[in-house]
Amino acid sequence: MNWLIKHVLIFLLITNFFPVKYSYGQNLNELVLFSNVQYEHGNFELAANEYNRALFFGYKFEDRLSLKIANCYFNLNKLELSEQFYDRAYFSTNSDSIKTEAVLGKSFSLILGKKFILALTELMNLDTLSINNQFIKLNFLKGIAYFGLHQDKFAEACFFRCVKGFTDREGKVEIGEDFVRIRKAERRFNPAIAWRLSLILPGSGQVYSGNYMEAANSSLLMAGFAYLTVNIAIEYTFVEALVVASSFFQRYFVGGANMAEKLTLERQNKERNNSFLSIMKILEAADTKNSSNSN
Amino acid sequence: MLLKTKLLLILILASLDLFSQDLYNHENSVQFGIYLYNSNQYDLAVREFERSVFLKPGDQASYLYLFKIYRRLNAFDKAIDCYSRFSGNLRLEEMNWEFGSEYLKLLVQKNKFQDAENFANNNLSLKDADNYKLSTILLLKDWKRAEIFRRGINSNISKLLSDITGEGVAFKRKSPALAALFSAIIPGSGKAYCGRWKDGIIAFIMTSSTALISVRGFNKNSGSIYPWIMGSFAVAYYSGNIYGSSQSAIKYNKMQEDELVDKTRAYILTDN
Repeated sequence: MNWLIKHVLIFLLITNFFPVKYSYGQNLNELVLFSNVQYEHGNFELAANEYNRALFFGYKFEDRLSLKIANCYFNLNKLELSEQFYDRAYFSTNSDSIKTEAVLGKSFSLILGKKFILALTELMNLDTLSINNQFIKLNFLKGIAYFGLHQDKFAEACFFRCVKGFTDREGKVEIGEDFVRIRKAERRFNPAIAWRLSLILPGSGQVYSGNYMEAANSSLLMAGFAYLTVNIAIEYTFVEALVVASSFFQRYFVGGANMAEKLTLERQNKERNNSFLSIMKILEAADTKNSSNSN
Repeated sequence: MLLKTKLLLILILASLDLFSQDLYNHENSVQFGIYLYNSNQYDLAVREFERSVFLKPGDQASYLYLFKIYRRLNAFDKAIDCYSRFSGNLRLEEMNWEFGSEYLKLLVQKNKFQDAENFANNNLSLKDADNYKLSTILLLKDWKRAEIFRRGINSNISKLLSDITGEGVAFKRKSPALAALFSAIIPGSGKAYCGRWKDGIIAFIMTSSTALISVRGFNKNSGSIYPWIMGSFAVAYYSGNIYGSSQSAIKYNKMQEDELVDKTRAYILTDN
């Protein structure tokens, strides 16, 4: 009896010598497995909750769990929290691959939040030599960030590098064509030209931007004012007509030109967005093909 | 004796093991909830504190965290429900200071400034009550009353609130009636009085030039339609400018006072 008690006591002393978190070990492994299943099923909130629990109670791989939590929040579109956990993953790991994934994930979150400069700053910190397997993703994100900043030359170069990463390099021609279309749209829909045109002939800037109703509205209004001004000049004096016209000019003439400028810029952005969507489709198709080829 | 001691030791050590296995017990839920709260994961923290109050009804700390979270999520009804579950009633004057300061913040967040003032005046346990009372008066833009209140109390008043009160009292409001009167006498001068000089000059040119041409037209050829057209423009500009000037004064006052209100809001909503 004494022998048994002595051995039980020794066993308990040994097991209790370790910190409490060690005794969670079994539970935490199960918890992480459970969270993985939830993540795979798309239950990101539940997965984030249980990953957090495992992290808080001392699961040994803080970096991996932080990355998982960040991915959960990314999928839930809670971008600030995802950025916070990508940072945590980055600073808690020694693994280059986790660091790379954290930077890419955080950059993607920043891009979705339209913080393009911050995203590029993060991406610039990546050592391109050590991330061969993430080469396509890196250039894809850089391309989007540059595109968001209207740095089209750099964006084009990055998207081309993406295509280079695919085995059959398909899509380069189409992407090139899309950028040609963007440049054409920039030349065709120039806001400065629209503004000047409207000053020369009211309504013509709106015609230039393709908004014919706005053009008709602006030209009729200004024609009415011009008719009135000319008649005042005939009936009274030129100076009086000029005084009346100057106030109308301030309100409606310059206003019309500004409107034409705004409409043209909107049109240009619409064309840019269409081309951007086209580029995304090309890259998606190339990526799908590349994945099926490598499988 | 030795055997008994050994058995007792076994019991204690074994119970330690059993206790530490449960990640979902009350204590662990609270600790984990606090971690989630501190890392701004409010949606997840709610679950933990709800579990915690289920496991231990009457746990004030957990209810308080829940209340804080609902306040941060701007969920007014849920916060109120949380407090009534905790206290069993909704007697606001008896609310303890921890819930009280959160409740006050919630009212301010919801722009219920009058309710906030009533609460600050009626609640008996609010800490730092004088600063809160002064803040609610400032939020109501009642600068004179705020100044009287500030002078009437002996306790330490925040320097920021004191400065805001001073600025509020010193602020010279633009009178909408005076602005309208100015524009009625000299078109555009009401806008200039409100600091909008450019608008004032344009309004003056538009009104006076159309009026002048109309008068000259009537003198020259009263049968023509142009004096009537220009006269209509002049009347429209003139009356529109009078109304616009009074609106400019209202806008000006609102903008200046809102700046002080925003500073006060920031003071109340900052976690001290």
